[in-house]
Amino acid sequence: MSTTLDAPAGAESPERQPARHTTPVAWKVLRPLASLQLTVVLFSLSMALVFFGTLAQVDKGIWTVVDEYFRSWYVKVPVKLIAMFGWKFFEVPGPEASDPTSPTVWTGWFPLPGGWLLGGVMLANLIAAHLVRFKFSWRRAGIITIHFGVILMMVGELVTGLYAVESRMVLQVGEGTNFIDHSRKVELVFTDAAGQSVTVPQSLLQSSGIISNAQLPVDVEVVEFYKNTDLLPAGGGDDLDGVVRFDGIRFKVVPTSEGTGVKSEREDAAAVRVKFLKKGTSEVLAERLLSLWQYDNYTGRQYLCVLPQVASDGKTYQVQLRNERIVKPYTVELNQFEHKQYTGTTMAKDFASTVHLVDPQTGEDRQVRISMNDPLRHRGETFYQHQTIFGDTGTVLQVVKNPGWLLPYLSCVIVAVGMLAHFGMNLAKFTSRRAA
Amino acid sequence: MTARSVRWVLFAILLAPGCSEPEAIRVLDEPSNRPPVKTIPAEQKRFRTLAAMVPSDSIGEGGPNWWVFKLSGPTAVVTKYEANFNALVDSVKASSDPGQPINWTLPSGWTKGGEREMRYATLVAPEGACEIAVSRASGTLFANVNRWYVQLCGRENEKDVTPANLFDVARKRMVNGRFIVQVDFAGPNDPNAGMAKMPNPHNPHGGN
Repeated sequence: MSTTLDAPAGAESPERQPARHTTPVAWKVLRPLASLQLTVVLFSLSMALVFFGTLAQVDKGIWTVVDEYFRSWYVKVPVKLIAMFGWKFFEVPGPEASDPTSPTVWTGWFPLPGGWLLGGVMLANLIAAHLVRFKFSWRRAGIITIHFGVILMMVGELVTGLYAVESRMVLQVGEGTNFIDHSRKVELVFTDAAGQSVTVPQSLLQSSGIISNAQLPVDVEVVEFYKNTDLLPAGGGDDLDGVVRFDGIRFKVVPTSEGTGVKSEREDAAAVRVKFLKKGTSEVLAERLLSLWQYDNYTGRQYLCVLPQVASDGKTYQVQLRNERIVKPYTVELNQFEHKQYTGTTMAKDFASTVHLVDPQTGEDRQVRISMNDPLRHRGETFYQHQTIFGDTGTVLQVVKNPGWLLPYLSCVIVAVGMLAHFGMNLAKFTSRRAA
Repeated sequence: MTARSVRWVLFAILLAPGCSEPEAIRVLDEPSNRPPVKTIPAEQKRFRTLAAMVPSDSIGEGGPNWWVFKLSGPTAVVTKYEANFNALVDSVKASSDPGQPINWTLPSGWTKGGEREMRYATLVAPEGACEIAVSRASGTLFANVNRWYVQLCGRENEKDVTPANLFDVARKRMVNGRFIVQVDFAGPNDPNAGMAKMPNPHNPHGGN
């Protein structure tokens, strides 16, 4: 991340030299870390990561790729991607030219540093370069400003990657809620008649073995976790095992591949097949397929189903797979939903939700109209008008919380100021020299 | 900058992405935030409707997808035959066989009535005290449930039942491997009065 605009490697100023005898170990660490060769290698690897991360979206979802390639320490890149690229753009025939995606042909992989590793080393490289090589002076103010902007941009991505949450709030007219649904995580939930719920997170559902916990009414054995499922019209069978109805029409939940980054029409509908075991035993009480298709907020209240129940210690629990619930200290009630269309067409002109926000902790009690370019902001969260639910009977608000949302804007401004300063000073120097 | 501080800074940079709380099993209190359904005063509950919507087992191509069983009339009469109605609904079996799309067991003493327009069948109580109408319906669940509520409680109360509180007034339950939706409404108006005059935009295939 260092630059050739300044002092070349090894040309450190005499002012920086004293550090050598006061902190020899630090110097030994910093010198190789500040290497320009390392910068070039990191940039090359970054380009390779972006290239393969883009190719990977041919058969993987965009968030899967983000997690596997860009927010990871290392990634196993399938050799298949290179074969597909060659076949698609250069018509290079593979061993099975008719089916270059065949998993039986291209089974190998090669390692590549992931985004976290590359970003972290780049950041260290840039900071080390400033500590070792760069002399702080007004003449270099532009370069230093540019690099500060770049550091801020990388920190912004780190903050976004770690703390940003995208979620949804689904409301029908007249309904109020104090929770939002995480867009990318699911949980298995057992709810009793009094409204108390015990939730099992997705990370546990994706691990093998039996899930046993004192809070759970039964032990849970995960048979299989599916990233995505689809609905197929179905005839007979049991309505309790992965079945939903659309106005009476019966649909069966079936596993399918995840929606890819290049072609995805909806958020993936995760599902899990589980066995409920009597606590502390291997006695199977029931085996069920549970899917997000059975969760009202995922489907926009479009499908109907009866959720399975399990009984334990004289209590009955309803079991459901749903998006991870994030409980809020405030409530939002939908008073009115508007769906305006251009006259004589069914083309949407405007969607708007009028909501009543009540936050006892901050004392807020106000009515807000949320429309397509006019979101609600509250407690660091932004509520965007996102979708309408089935029959225009309510709204879906996208709720975004990103503590680092300002950093990309700020860093771009800082980089722009740095470039103006750097090139402006060079231009002024050039013109004055020419005039002389 | 000392060697130790350099090592710590680099260590922090490299490990920062790993700093996140592990997910764990949670216990949540989730009381309903839905608005309560309006309560009808007891003295106004002169008429009552029991209805069950049973999904059709046909794949459905724009046709009616619900079987509707409906018993309505004066509260005292409906209450008298409530157990018979529930027994009938518990016996219902929808089938994908077009020749016999639905089967049920008639309660003791009940008979099958004559053919009526817009009805699949009419089931008559002993001595003709009341009847259960069996018909097919399309339209959304909410549209049908709200229509029955309005028949009993009047057009002025049509906003009492909303999509948000639909399942506070309608109960989902399993019958013979199929889920059905059942409602039990009471109100001041006779739901059978003026039925012939009232067109049903949501139910072109059935009269109830």
